Amino acid sequence: MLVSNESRATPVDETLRRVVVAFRLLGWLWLVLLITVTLATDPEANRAIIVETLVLATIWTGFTLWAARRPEVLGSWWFLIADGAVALLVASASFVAGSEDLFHGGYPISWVGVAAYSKGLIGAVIAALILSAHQVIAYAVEGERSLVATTGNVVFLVFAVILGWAFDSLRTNDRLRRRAELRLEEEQAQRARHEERAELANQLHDSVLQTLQVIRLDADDPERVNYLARRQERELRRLIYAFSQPYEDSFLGALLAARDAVEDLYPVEINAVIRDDTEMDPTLEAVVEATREALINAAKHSGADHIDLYAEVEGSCARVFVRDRGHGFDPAATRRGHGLTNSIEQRIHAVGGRVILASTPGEGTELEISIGGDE
Amino acid sequence: MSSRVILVDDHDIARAGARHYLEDRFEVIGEADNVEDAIELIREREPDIVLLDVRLPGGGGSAVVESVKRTLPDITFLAFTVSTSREDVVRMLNAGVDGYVTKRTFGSDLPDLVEQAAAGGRPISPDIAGYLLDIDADIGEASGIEKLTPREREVVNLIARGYTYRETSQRLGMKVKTLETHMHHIFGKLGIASRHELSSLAYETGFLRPDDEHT
Repeated sequence: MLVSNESRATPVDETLRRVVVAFRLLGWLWLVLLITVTLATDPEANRAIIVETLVLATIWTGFTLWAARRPEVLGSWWFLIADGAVALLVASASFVAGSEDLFHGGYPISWVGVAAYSKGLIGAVIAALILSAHQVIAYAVEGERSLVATTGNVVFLVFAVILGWAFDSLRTNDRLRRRAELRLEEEQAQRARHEERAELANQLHDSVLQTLQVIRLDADDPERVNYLARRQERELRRLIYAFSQPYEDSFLGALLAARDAVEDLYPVEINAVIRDDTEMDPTLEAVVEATREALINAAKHSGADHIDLYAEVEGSCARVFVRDRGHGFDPAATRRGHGLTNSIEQRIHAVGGRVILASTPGEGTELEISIGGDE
Repeated sequence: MSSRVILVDDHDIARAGARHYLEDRFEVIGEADNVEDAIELIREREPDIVLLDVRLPGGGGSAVVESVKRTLPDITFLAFTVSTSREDVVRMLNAGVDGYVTKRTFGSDLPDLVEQAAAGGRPISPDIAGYLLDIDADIGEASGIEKLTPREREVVNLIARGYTYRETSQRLGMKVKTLETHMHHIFGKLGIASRHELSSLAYETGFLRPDDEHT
């Protein structure tokens, strides 16, 4: 099986590269051990060749460690061929050096690991066949060693098949699993989108479509049409707002909820400008309650159809302004203003805040609620 | 002579609505529904005022302002939109818009706002005033960008609270002309601050438009 590039950067690929390195290190250790024994016990062997073999194998093992962190190198054709050439050189050295025993040990086998990583089962088997052929030819040329020894080549082949098969099936499984995961994710996302759209369609049908039908039926009653349109506008605005930024249990959320509630009760439009947000606490709870009351007062008594709500929070300070352009009154001349704000003042004074009322007959009223800050 | 107005909005109904309210007092000389057509139309007819939507196919309202202001600096651009996202406000401010009103103000107020913009008054809606205060509050001490003066902040604060220009000037005991001068300075300072915010926003999202650099 040929390995595509997309699977080179996966966790499975990393594991396989570790396996390749482990085989290489094992083969190298085996080689070092056998060479040490040969140098100590075999005076007839050609020492120069043996040492050169060790140096070559050591340098190439070091290079393999470097390449193992670079899938594009470890998986390349040139690395596979160079690695095979080194393996064959190491395997030949035993014969050329004229030692009594073969000292190459497991090093050549580790090439099968590289081949399995690079080209899968077929690669591993071909590498094993090349190594086997090399052994058979070398024995035949030397003519000294028994044929029994060459049957050890079967080990190459069995090893290659197991390793190649294991590498391939691990990769295949991983790819199938990732594909399935991706498909599942896509399906889930699509289902979520469908649900969201169905929900939106539902809401639009229940609100907008029905209101439009009622408006058509009541087309000759301008007051009723006006009322319906206004109510629908508010509902739609809320729907859009909830979609773009669902507000949660915060100061801003609570103020907007109070605004919505008052708009539902009275035929007014409340324009809210709220800067920054913070978590609710009992003090802000009182501020929100007082604001709601101020909004209701303005909606009920001012005669204006538009109210401005402004709120700002900074650290432990909060300021809220409720303003209308209604009748207004003279706060000094009448006790009416005082009566209106009585319960608001009580609430706010209880949490250590201030209430300032400003009103001019004919120009409207503004109520300021503040807590914290310069007092 | 009444001011000549061009309407740029990708929704027919929105343009028809604006036209309805403006026709009595202004001369509506053209309409466009995308950036490319808008730029061409404005260059060709050179209106006094452009009423401009923020979300437009082909690059958004800021692209129109940036492209036209360089060669025709005398045209007044009034952003007129449903969008009250801070990013949109910052983008338009940076492009050099002369006022920003939301469509909530739609209706009888619109001609007054256009008149104000034509007179150099920099009209803004209360929610936009809220954003201006936010942008000012976010200017760091070390950034070297000039913050609003207490007086200027007072002006924007009153507008955020729903005061009109006339009411604001009365309340602060200043002439409307003085208030307009204040608004000029406010737009100037926050235009610079918005450039700063925009580039940090661009770096945050890994998206930097070349236009943001050279203005």
